[in-house]
Amino acid sequence: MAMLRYAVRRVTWMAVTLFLVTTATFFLFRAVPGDPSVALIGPDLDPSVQNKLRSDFGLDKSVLDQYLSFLWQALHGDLGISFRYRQPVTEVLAEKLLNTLLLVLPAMIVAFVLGSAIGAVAGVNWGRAWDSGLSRTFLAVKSAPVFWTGTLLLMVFSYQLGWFPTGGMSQLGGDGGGIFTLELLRYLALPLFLLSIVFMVEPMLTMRTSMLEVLHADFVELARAQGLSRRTIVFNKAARNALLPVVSLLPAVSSHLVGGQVIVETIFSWPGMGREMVEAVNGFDYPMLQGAFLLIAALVIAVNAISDLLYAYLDPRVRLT
Amino acid sequence: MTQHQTGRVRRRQASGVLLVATCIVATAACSGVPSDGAEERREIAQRVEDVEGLRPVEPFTVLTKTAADDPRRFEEARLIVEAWQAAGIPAELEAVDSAEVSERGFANKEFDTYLIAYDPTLERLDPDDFLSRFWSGTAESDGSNLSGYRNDEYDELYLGQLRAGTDEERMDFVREAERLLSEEQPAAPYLRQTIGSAYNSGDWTGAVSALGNPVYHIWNSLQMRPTGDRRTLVVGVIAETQTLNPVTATTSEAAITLSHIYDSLVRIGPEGEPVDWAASDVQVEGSTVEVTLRDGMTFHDGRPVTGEDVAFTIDYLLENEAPLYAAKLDGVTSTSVEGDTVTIKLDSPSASFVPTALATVPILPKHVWEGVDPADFANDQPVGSGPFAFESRKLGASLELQAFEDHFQPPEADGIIWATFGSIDAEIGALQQGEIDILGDFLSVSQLDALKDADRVTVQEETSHGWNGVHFNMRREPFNDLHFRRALAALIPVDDIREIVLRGGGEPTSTVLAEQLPWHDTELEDLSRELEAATQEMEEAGYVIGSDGTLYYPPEGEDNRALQPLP
Repeated sequence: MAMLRYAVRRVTWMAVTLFLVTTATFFLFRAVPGDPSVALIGPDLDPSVQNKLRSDFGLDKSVLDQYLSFLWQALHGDLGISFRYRQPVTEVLAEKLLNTLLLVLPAMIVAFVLGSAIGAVAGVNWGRAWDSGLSRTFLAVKSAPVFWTGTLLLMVFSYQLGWFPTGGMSQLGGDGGGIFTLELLRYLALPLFLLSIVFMVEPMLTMRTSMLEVLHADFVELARAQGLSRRTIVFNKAARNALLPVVSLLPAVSSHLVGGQVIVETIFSWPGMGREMVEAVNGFDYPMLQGAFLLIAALVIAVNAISDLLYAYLDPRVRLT
Repeated sequence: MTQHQTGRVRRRQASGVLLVATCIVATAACSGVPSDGAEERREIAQRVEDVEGLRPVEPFTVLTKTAADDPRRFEEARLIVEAWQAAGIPAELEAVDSAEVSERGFANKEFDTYLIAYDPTLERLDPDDFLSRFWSGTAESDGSNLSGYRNDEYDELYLGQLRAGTDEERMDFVREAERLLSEEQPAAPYLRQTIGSAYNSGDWTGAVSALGNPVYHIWNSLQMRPTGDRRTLVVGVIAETQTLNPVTATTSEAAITLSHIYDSLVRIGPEGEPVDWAASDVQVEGSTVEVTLRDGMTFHDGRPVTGEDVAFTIDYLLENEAPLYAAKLDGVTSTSVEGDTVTIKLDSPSASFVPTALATVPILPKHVWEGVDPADFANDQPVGSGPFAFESRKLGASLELQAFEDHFQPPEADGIIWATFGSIDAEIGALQQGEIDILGDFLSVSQLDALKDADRVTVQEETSHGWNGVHFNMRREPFNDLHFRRALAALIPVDDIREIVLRGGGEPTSTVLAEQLPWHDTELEDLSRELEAATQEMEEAGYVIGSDGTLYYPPEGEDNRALQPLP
């Protein structure tokens, strides 16, 4: 019963937070100086079309009217028409979101699985050559700017060796076919590798530290006293417990799933959410930004709520607070 | 999270540019002769001790984009401000982001001076585009006469060229108008940039250079022949065409893409001359334009192209105020159709109607657009009659068109693809790897130099018929004074800008109409960029400098300024 009450309270707060975030973003974007009609006029587009554009975009109405119609439409799953693409925001978002997920989801899986494993190895070998080699490598990766690492990868593996294409998602001028072809792997290789090693640093370092603590815990001593093999102690006993802090990193990075990675996307010309949002900001594409932020907020809030509920399930003390 | 990252990228760019700028300043400071106050100042007006009762010239700003948004323009503005300051003129740099520049320059006219760059668009091959920007009819707040120039004599010349019956007659008006602008300098054009680009000559032949764009233009899309495995021409671009709806499109990128899918009645040829395209004949008689349609044309869906479609298109684009085309069709009062002949009536004769309106307006199929509300219509499966037919599109990645074999001039290639890139470096890299065939963007001189040695890549260059220049806001003092404007123009350090900022990639100019176009008056003398010329103007008008270096308006009785009345 307490669990149910906690769940209801949690879900209500989710809805409230989502509403507040949507409202805040709606007004924040409009508070930025300039507007979409101004961003378009200039030497190549006569200033006289400004009024026409403003009425097309619905900007001639009061902000409150705009807000209410945005809310009403959003409740019906309609995020409006993008100012730049002149087609429904949901269509554009769906296409870009798929591209981003194709890149970011595998990168995260690789990063967390491999990162925890490497972190465990480093943690067990704390202070030895193995450990210092690994952690220094990862610190170096973390310190190197992504645009630099990315450019370096391109220079070596695309421009010099010619193993991988220089960017994009699919063959140009070929028979292409669908999105999910073997060809995609060639285009995915470099950005996926880069993103994986960037994402890998935190789980690796967290796992390493956490492993060190766990290895000195009583139950590990006990396991040792029981005469269990080192392998069993490290992987079955210690690593399992050390994994908890790593798992709690997940909600924090989940926003990348929707938000994308603007730098990596720019270097490899990947048509994902990151670039889309930067261009939407530059072009004052309010409906697009509202839609994208609604999506990010919904995901982050949902992931956090799920992890809270999981904690509550795992640890009865959470329910009481 | 992403917003945060965006900020980081911007700051990085900005700090990079700042670093370079600092280095340039530091180098200049070290290599120059140590300056020591009054001796080094190149003052351009007479010094007076007694400034009692004189009115100082208030400090004014040069509006430009930030170094992060447009490093080239920012550096040019910086050099100009420094040159003006060195002469004792109280100018300051004001760099703001792109949207604010457009808002203050084009929407509100809230600036003192505005550093502008006009791109070499097809419309500007006709003199009307630039000349209209100084006509008093466009000087209002929603007009394109940024300088706010109002001159009855000029207005007569402007309308004269528009209403001229023959090219020769028009030429006379155009040249007189150009001469007047060059003398009065409501804006000071100072440079025409080198525009260069490159294509994949390892896999393609038959590329030509066109006025206004050395590589990426419709004629190359039509006549480049594949010699390699890939038979589809791939164009790399940074800015993708975001909508294929001609009624709602707003960007010049979209205009180029749409001109592949849709035919216009006339096209601008590689030499800059209008040539008949979907029209087999165009007759202009006063304010009546009679167009005869080419025989046997069909849309991509097989339906014939008729005079009805042409008349419908003009009415439809006007009615829906299509941002790219409605202004060009503004003077149309009626259209009528008789068989394959369409008669267009204008409210007054317009020499620019054929080369600007008819050369760009796409012929829309009436059967598709009739009854459609264009504001809600994505047109994501466009049907035109152009040499290329729509095939597929991936947002943010690519747009593919297939050759339309039934067209009267079918392309040599099997199709064309626009591939969207994240940066110009990625685009250049893809060309060098043979992944793309044409660079859809202009390159800087250093990028061009680097590509000149590359295998299987050919670089082509032209001089822009657009210009970089300074608009003086004549609605404000002191820019309403002819002498002050001419002095400022004379002080623009064109050679420094050319050498330092553009690395030699440009030609100096002082007139709005490009030297390479037939409209330009070759006998027109260049404006002097010597200090003496500026001094002469300032002294003639009567400006003086106080002992503390402040610039003052002329004392009463010695005021010889040539003023346009303030609003």
